Amino acid sequence: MMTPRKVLVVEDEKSMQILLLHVLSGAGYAVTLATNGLEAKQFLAKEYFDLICSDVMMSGVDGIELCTWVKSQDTMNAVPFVILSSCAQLAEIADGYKAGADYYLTKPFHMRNLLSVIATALVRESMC
Amino acid sequence: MVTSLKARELMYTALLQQIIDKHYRAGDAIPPEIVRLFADIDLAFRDREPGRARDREDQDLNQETDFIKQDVDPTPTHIRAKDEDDAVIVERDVRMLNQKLLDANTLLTSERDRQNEHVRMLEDLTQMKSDFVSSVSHELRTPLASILGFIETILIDPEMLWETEREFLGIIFNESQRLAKLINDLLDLSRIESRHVEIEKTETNIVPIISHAISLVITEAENKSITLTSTCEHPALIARFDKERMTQIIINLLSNAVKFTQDGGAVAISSGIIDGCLEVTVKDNGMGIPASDIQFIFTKFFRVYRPRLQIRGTGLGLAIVKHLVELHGGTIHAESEEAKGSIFTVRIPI
Repeated sequence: MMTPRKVLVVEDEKSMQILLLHVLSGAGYAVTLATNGLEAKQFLAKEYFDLICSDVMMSGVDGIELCTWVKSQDTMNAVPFVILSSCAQLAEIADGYKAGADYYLTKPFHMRNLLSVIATALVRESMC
Repeated sequence: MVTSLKARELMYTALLQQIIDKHYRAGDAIPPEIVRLFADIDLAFRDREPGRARDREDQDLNQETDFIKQDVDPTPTHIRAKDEDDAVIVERDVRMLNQKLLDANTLLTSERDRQNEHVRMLEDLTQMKSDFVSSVSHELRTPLASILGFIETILIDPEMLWETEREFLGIIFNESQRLAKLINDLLDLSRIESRHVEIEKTETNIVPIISHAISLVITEAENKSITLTSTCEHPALIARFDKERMTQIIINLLSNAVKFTQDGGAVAISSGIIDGCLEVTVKDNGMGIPASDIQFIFTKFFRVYRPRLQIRGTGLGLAIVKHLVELHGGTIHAESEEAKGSIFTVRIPI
């Protein structure tokens, strides 16, 4: 049996945390939850994750800042970074991609979409 | 430089026209002072040159406008006249006209600045509107993402445990309520602004209204370990106000205070009758409002820029509160110091 891929979820919204935990664990991923960008950095400094799913608007270190930081680290710049955000304006989405995000899903999104994005990202990463 | 009076006149008229072209677009109203200047120029020169005829004027026009294009210093140096006295008079009049042109220029400049200011204000307003749309869109998307996500999750999993499904339904319910509140706020403000709101004033005791409002925000406060205290001058403070709207005002101020106060802070509400007015004060020791922003906080769509601080809201709360207080014939006043806290005082005539 394959060891489950490790996904770091960064989300400050309680209901969204419950939803993502349920859906991603249900799909067989090993999910770790960080409630803001700073907490996510602490997790990332300690262990390796296969993929990061992050919200944008969070107090302290926000999703964009987190993404920029992740993509600037030699040890983790290849880790796929998926942004999940209610910020749906073109300029906001552009900010996400400029920060180095691999995918940007605007809320609300379909759970099956999220799952296929994650699966695709993981396959692409393993091929690189 | 020796020039004919006719050339002088045309030069002045052209200069005036240049000023107007520079400051106004087609269709703009030209201030009457400027229009009058044209007549003044015409009059002044006609007096000096009594014999001139209309057809000659047209003939001379082409050759003389060429002269005007040379952008000549309009200060009179020497003017050809029949005799010395006449020359003195002409020079005096020309000097007077020069002064008038300078005045006109000052007037036009200030008018232009005023128009620019107006344009800037409209641009700010447009920006505020688009920020507002973006903010509303964000606020609508967040609960909707949960609602749709949980429903999808329940639907695609026929084997979901009954308890899990119940838990998810509870979340869907709460998030839907959040959406409903946002929509209500939006509609409320729009109704208030189009004056479709009636205030029903009755003699009411404010004390139970405050207690009721506190009971509605206490969970919010407790979640952030904020102490919420109420002091009241008297167990019964009777004034004339709309019960529901007053509750709305107080809830709004209290929940704002809780929202903008860090964990472990304190919010206090007090009430009393002062100078024939019912006075309700909400005080917090939260993050406060920058001095440069305080004048805008009651403006709808306005939100103090707080980078990286996720605070829910649409920028409508205080705008609604101010409208409601004013519908009661009252006033609202805000005082604040950054990082120290804010005080909001509502006064409503008894």
